[in-house]
Amino acid sequence: MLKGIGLIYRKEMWTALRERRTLIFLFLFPLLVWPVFVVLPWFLIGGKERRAQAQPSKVALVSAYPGLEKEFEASDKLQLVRLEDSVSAALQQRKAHCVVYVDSLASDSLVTYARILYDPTQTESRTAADKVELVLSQYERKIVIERLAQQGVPERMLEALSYRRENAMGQNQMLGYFLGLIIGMFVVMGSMMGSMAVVIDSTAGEKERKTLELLLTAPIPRSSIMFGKYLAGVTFAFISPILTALGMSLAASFVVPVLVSSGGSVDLSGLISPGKILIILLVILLMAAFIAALQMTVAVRAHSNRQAQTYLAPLNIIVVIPIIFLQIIPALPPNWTFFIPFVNVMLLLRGLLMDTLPGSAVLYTVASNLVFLILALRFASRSFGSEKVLLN
Amino acid sequence: MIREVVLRVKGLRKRFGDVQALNGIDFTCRRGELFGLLGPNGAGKTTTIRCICSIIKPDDGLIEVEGVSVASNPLMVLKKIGVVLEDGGLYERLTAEENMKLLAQLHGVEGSLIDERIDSICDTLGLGEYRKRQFKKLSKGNKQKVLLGQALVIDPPLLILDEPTVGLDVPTQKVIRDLLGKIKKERTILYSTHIMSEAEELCDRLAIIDHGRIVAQGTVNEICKKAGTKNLEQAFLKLVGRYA
Repeated sequence: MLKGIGLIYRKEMWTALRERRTLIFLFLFPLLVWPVFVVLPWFLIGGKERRAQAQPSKVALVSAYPGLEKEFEASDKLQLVRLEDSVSAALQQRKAHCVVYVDSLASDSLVTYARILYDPTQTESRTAADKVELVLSQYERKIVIERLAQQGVPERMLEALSYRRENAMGQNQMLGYFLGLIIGMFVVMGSMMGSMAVVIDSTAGEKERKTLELLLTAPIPRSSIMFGKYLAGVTFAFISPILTALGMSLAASFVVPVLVSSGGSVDLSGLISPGKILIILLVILLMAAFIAALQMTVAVRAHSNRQAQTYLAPLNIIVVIPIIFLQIIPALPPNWTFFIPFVNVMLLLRGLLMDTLPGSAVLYTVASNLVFLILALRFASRSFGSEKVLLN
Repeated sequence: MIREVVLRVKGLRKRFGDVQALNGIDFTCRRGELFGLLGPNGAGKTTTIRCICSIIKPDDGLIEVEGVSVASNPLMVLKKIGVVLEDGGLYERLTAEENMKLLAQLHGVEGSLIDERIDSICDTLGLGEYRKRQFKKLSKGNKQKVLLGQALVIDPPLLILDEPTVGLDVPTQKVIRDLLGKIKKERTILYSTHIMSEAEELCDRLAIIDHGRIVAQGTVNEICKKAGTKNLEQAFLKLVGRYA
C-alpha cells in the first residue's frame, strides 16, 4: 500500500512541478506578487508623507490679525497663499492645502477663535493642518508669555509639567505587530491557492483527461491512489504558506523602518523563538492537511478542471471573508473563535507574533483542526470509493 | 487441444439508474486467443470491460481471470491485466517512457525488467525517437502506441483493448493490427471494436453484444452461419436487429 502511495505521490509532484501554473502559484505569488502588494502602498504613503513634511505647505489665511500673518510668514514650514475661490475649490484644486479662518474679536475678549479647514482624505492637507496647529500653539504661547510679563509673572510659571511621547517598542516588536496584522490572511490564502491547482488537476483534471480510469486499473488499493494524490496536495498546501510567510516577513522588514521613520531594513533573526516556529509549522501543517482534504472532497465531484474551479471558488470566498473581517480587528478575540477553522490559524499567528496569545489557544486550534481534518478525510475517502463520483 | 480458460465472465449484470447496461453476459477467453467484443455504441462493451477491470462493480455475476475472482481478489486480478481504455489518456506532462515506467511500477514490475521491456516495445512500435517526448506533444497515432505500450510493459496474461484503433490513420492502424497478430499467440486478448473488417481479420472468436446481452458468439463462420449471412457485417446487422 505504501509503495502505491509513494508512486502516486511522486507522479503527482512530478507532473505538478512541470506545470507553469503550479509554479506561479507556488513561488511567484508568495515570494514576489503578494509582498510587493504589501510593500508598495506603504512606500507610496510613506514617501508622500515625507515629501509633505519636507516641503512648505500652502496655507490661505483669512484674518484681520496682522500678528498671526507675520507668524505664518516667518515659518519655513508654511507658504501663505491668497484664497481666490471657495474653500472647497481651493482644497480640491490644491491651490491651498488648508485654509485658516480667524474670527473677528470683541475688543475686550482675551481669546481668539481660529478654524483650520482641511481635507482629511489628502496627505498634504492633513500635514498642512498639523503644521498650522504647531505654529498656532507657538503663537499662543508667545502671546500668553507677553500677557504674563505685563502682569509681572515670569515665563517659567507656565511650566508645571514637561512631557514627550516616545516609541517604546523595538523594531523587532514593531515587525511582529505588523506581521501579525497581515500574515495570517496571506498564509491561509497561500495554502488554499498553493494546493488548489494540484488538487484539481489530480482529481477533476484526471477525470477530464480519462487518466483516472486507467489509474483505477492498477493493482493498488483506491485508498493508495487517494492518499498519494492527497499527500501531494498537502505538500503544496504546506509549502506555499511557508513561502508566503517568508515573503511577507521580508516585505515587512522593509515596511517597518518606514513606519518608525528610521530608514534601512530590520534584522529578521530573533524575531520569533524556535518554540514559536515549531507551533506555527505544526498549525500550518494541520491547516494544509485540512485544506487539501476539503478541496479534494469538492474537486473529485467535478468532471472537468473548469467545473472544479467553479465549485472551489465559493469555498475560497467563504474561508477568506471572515478572516479579512477579523484580521482588521486587532482586539483579542474570545476563546471560542480558536475553534473556527482557518480563522483560528490567522488568530494564532497574529497572537504569537504580537505576544498576545492566550495559553489555551494552541490547544484549541490544534484540536479543532484535527477534528475538521478527520471529517474532511472521511468525506474525501467516501467520494473516492464511489464509482458514481469517480466516473461521472 | 482445448486451451486453458484465462477469462471467464458469467451472468454479468449491471444497472445504471433506469438503464440495464448489462443483462447476463456470458463468455470465456482461452489462452492464446484473441476474442472480440462486437457491438453498436451503448451495447455494453465498455461496461463489461470496466467490470472486468474492477473500475465498476457489477450488480451480479462472476468474473474470473486465471481462476481468480475479481469480486474476492481484485488486486490480484488487476496484476494479470493490461488495459487500453476507449478514449483513454496518459499523463500529458510525463514523457512516453515515464508513462510506461509508471504503469509498470504500479503493476509491480521489477526495476531491471522495466527498461528492457520499454526498449523492446519502443522498437516494435516505432516509438524510439519519441520516447523522451512529453505525451502531450505526441501525435494521436503515437499517443495510441504509447497507450498500447503501457499495457504491454507489464507483460500481462490478459490484454484488454477497448476500441484501440478508432480515429487512427491507416498506417498506425496497421502497425497496431500487425502487432496484435504477432502477440496474440503468447497471451489472451479481449478486443472491443465496432469495425467489422478488423474483427474479421483479427479475432479467433467473437461475441456480438446488443442491449447488454450477447446475441451470438463463436468464430466468424459460426456467427455468419447462425445469422444465415455471407459476411460478418450482414450477420451483425441482422443479429442486432438493424438489417432490413
